[in-house]
Parts: sequence; C-alpha cells; structure tokens
Amino acid sequence: MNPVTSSTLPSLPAPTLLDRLSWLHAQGRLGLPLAFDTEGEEWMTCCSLAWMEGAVSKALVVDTLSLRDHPYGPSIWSALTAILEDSGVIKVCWAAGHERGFLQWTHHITLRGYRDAMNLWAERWPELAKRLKYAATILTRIPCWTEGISFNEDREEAQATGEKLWRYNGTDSIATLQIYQHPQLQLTGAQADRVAFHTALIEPANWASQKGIAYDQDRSSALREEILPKLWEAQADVDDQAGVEPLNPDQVLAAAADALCHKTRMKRSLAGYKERVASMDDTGQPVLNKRGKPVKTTIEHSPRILSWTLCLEHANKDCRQPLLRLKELAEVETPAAQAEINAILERGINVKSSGESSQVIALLNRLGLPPVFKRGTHKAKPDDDEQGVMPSQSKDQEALLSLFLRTGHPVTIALLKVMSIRGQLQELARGVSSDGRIRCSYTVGYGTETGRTTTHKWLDGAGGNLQTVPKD
Amino acid sequence: MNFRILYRPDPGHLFWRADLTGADLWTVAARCATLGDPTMLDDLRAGIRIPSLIGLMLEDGYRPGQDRALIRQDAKAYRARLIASGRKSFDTTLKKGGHLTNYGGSHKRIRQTVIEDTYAETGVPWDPGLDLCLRVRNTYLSRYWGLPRWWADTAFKVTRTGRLTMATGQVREFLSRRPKNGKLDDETRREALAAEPQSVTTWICNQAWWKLWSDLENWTEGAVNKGEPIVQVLLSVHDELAGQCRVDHRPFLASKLTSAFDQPITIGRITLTIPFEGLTGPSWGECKEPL
Repeated sequence: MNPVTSSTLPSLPAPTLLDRLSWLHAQGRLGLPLAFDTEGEEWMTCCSLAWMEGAVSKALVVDTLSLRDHPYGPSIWSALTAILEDSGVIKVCWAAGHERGFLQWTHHITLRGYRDAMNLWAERWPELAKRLKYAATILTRIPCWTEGISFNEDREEAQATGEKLWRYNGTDSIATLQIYQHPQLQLTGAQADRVAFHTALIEPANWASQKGIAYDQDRSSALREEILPKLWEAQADVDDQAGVEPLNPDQVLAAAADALCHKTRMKRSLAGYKERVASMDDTGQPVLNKRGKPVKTTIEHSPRILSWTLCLEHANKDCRQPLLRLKELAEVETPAAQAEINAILERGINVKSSGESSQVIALLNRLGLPPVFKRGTHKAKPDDDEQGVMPSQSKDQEALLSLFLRTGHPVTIALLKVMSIRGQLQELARGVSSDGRIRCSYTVGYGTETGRTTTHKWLDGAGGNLQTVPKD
Repeated sequence: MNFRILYRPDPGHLFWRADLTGADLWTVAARCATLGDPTMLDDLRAGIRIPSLIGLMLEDGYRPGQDRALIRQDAKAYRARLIASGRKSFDTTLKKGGHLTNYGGSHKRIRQTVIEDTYAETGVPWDPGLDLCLRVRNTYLSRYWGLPRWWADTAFKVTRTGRLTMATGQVREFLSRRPKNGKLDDETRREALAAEPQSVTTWICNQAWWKLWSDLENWTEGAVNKGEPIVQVLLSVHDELAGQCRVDHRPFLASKLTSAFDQPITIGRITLTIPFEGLTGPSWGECKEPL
C-alpha cells in the first residue's frame, strides 16, 4: 500500500472529468469497489471517489463548489448522482450515516450501495477511537494528512480551500478504501452479520434524522420564563454566601453608568461643557462670514444630573436593553433582583467563569475549602500560589459534588443549584431547524464500546444529543 | 423538570414509547442463572420490583418465602408507602445500590452515584451515607448470591483471553489494560461486567427498530402518507424507542410493537424474551397510557 506521492494534482477539463466519471460508474457496476468522501457544511465543497488499480490507490476529486455556474455543472452533477444512487456500485464511506444524511439533506441525493469502513473498524476494535486518521495510522502507510492543512478539531472541519483541501479529501477516500480492504477487517460469522445489520440500520436512522420531531416553542418559552426567577433566587444565595453586598437604587445607577455607558461622554455631560457649533439661519443654511467660512457660536451645556435617561443617551453598543432592565430591577428590593443586577453588572459570582479567572474556585479557596483537582492533572506544586487559583483545580459539577461529600458546606449546594438551573436553561436553548422541528444525527451500533447508539447535532447545527433530554 | 413534554407528535398523531427499562438486569439474571443461581431471573419473571424487595428486606426485616406472587404484592405495597411518605431519594438509593452492586460497585461508589443522581434529578444532592449504602449492598448480595460467581467468571475470561464474547455476537477486546498479578483493575472489571447487559439491550432495541422499518405492512396497510411508515420511529435512547403514529392506528401500533420486541435471545444457557412496556401520550414526556 503506497502513500500518496504525487506532488501536484493534475486538473482535468470538464469533458474528461465526465468521461472519467462514466468509466468509474461502469467499473463500479463490474464490481470495482469505490470509496467516497465529501467535504463541506451547508454545501458540498468537494467530493472524491477512490479506487485501486492493481496495487496503486487513485482518487478523483470533484471541485463541486465550482460547479455552481459551470456550463458542465448539471452534467457532472448528473454523472456523480448516477454513481451515488446506483445500488449496484459499492461506495465505501467512513461514517456512511453522516455522508448519506449530508447528501440527502443538502443535495437530495439518496446514497445507495454504501458500505461503512468505520463500522468494520469499530466492530473489530470497539475500544479504539473511531476517527479516520487513527485507523489510517494503524492500518495504512498514509501519513497524517492534516499536516499542512489546518483542521479545526473543535469545529471538526478542514480550514483549507483549493488544492490543499482537494488533496486532503482525496487522501481521505484512499485511506477509507485501504482500511476497508485490509486483511484484519475481513470479518466473518456473527461479527460480519453485525456490521451488515448496523450498516442497514443507517437508512431508518437517516430517515428519523431528516423527519425530525415537532418542537413546542411556545411551551419552551413559557418554561424559560418559569425557570428564570428560580435562577436568580439560587444565584442570590451564592452571592450572599460570597459576601457580595447588595446595592441601593442610587448605587445601581452609578454602577450602571460606570459599566455600560461611554465613559468620556458621561464625564463630559456630568461636568458640563462648551460646544462650538455652526450658526444656522432661518432656512437652515449655515451662516457664512465675509471670507465664506461658517460662523461658529459657543453653546454652553450645563452639568447634568446622573439619571437613567442620561445613561440611556450614552449607552455603549448593545447595552440599551441591559440598562432598561437594570432600571426596572433597581426599584425591586428582593434578593433575586439583586442577583440579576449583580449578573448584569458582572459583580456577582459567575459560575461560568473558568480557568485562572474562575470565580467559583476563588470563592471556594477563600472559604477555606479543600481544592479538588481535575482528573489526571498534577496537584499543587510547591511554588503555586496557594491563595490564587491553581491551573489544575476543578470547579465542575463532579468537583462540587465531591466537595459536598467531603465537607457538606452550604456553598457547594448553592453553587450546584445555580449550575443545575443554568443546565435547564441550556436545555431550552437547543436550536431547532428552520421548519421548527428538532433533529439529531445518529451513530448506530458503534457510538460506544458496548454498541450503544449515540446522537449528535444535526447538519444545520440544531438539536444535539437528544438522549440526554431530562425527564421526570 | 420534564423537558420531554416539548417534543410533540404531528397533528392527528400520538407519541409512543417502547421502554426496555430494567433490561440490563435480565442479562445479569440470565448469567447468574447459567452459573447456578436462578433467584434474580425468577424474581424478574414474577414481576417483582427488585429495589422495592431489597428495601422491604432492609427496613422491615422481610424474609421472602417461596410464593413470588405474594412477594410481588408486598414489594408493590412497600414502594407505594415509600413514595407516599416522600422518600423518593431513598428509593433512588435502593435502585442505584442494586444497579451498581450488579457490576461490582462498592458502597462508596453507590453513595457517590446517589449524590450525583439526586442532584441531577432535583438540583439538590442527597447524601445517603456510607452505612446505608453498605447495608443495601449486603442485602442485595444476600439475596442474589450468584453475582460474585458472575464477576469471577467474567474476570477470568478477560484475564485469560483479553476479550469477551457477548450474547449479541459482539466480541470486545479489552486492549490497553492488562491485569496485574493476575487480577483485573477495577475500571476494566466494571466495564467488562457492564459490557454484555448494555450490548444486549441496545441490540434488542436496534433489532426492533429494523423490524418496524423493514415490515412491509408498516408501509402499506392503510397508509395515508405514501412513502412514510405508519409506525414511525423518531428517537432511539439506549433502552427505549420512541416515535409517533396516527391516532386511529393505535391498535396497529400495539400489534407491531409487540411483534417487533418479541425477540428471544440466548444468554449463557438461558433463552428469554425481555419484556417491554409500551406507552402513548400527547408528547414524549407525557406517554403514560399503556398500549
């Protein structure tokens, strides 16, 4: 099995590309297995078909992004679709469920005759990671092709475009084919039956994903309104234990002006200032002097008193709504209102702050609670600042539950309550698709080592892991 | 808070759920029975709610006799008393205690899990205490004495061969961890014990999903929307399938789900069919009406 060696990618004119696709289709119908891979999010950026010629792996990459206004575009799409929809042509994919779902959702192409090399890999070695690059590293001689192409692991997408992306795409499909044909993955008996079964299950799983479920958005908004007051009550408890002093209405106004308004303009308004402006005549035209220059007069602005009206006049960008909310809350003297004020003004304990600026860890340290460290990290080094936040300290739910177990301190329960309610609000923030339905994608049969199916966000970013939706 | 109420069926449809809750326990019971202890299997077949039985034995000194119908009745009454007295967290301890004891969990682990689960359910963690967790564990093991045999049998297989072959045909090789001095580490042991129950439950759900999809009657019998199945599976959640169908197809739904989940499976030397519970309602979170 040779690594990819060509230094430049030869480009084919459109008629030749069409011929090549027809040839591949014909070869596929004669039994030549093809591997198939796509790149793209909302649209297929490119796709590749790989095959073996003797001992040499080859791939044909189609730059589908450039087909949009291309005169040969419809013909090339038609030839490609014919291959993909032909159940008599084997197309080996890595995560066929994703490829099939993507083709159906974005291009209304129904992938048939597919095989899933990832299923073979996961059936043979359930404990190993299922990313293509791991399998390729172990079973092929193809080098890690993400080198030279930035691949964003968090967003799971290639960052490159053009030739770098095409090479990456072609290499993916070649690796998929080589893995599929590897002797160690020629499974038999019950294991082969399981792979075939889970590959077949992709079809109903895709159907369920595309169908989606009707989502009651009105009820979701109502639940959110129900939960928000509970959040502020719980947050008030945390702020109280942290010793955050409540603010009276005047203090709220002063803090709002400081945090949410343009400092220079506020200072000027409060101190008073003089302004030179052009004089206007009755018709609204500028008055000119003998030299034709505009005549200016001085206007004296007297100092203004700090007020909500002044704050709204000088609000920073996107701060108008928070200021209006603060104005409402300032007159409500309840702990929950104070908690919301603290949150807007960023003076309360923010449970979402993390890393070295984690306010939760700082609070726990201040209260003298024993530190809990992240799993697998080192504990405090001799020269670590014991008063500050140590990098390996953890403030997540597991850590707080562990602290609760060890100490029973009320602040742990208060923090857990806030986190729990924030989790509920996050649950309500699951996106729905543009048709108002909620969807998820499935990894059937090989989501976990035990064969469990797992769910993830759908192709449009909506939904998510619907297996964790809380029930009573 | 029940967020599943937000997931609704299309107009003219009802939501259904087919639940294999407790399915993992059937696999454990079959393995224990294969190794000589049929107690758990017989209790499950009699419809006894095991956590309630353990609670009854723990709190009331109950000594179960041979009449399982009576045991079932007594366990049911005990649970009703427990819920009525507002001790749901204690019931969680019994459930988690039994579940974790099946997989060799210690009383410390039971305590940790109860705190995490009560927090997840209510937003406020509840500490059952180590003593209670130990008593739950010991009471559980006193009834189901075959469990340590199953643990030893599984550990032996993994230690000798590095792999487990499940009743579903899955072969799991435990790769990176090796036993030290002939003994499995705790994490591998727990994973090995949990492997087959999870594999069996998921397999049955997936098989049922496929049966519904590939059943021609589900596509043609009085179908209103051509190209869509009548009994639609919209969600798969580990031990549960959920979906929708038209309200007037309720009897059809009942018959198809029963047939889909009628899957005898041989675990060890025991062949059994794991029962499911079918419920319907106006949303995923409100499926309470039995089929």
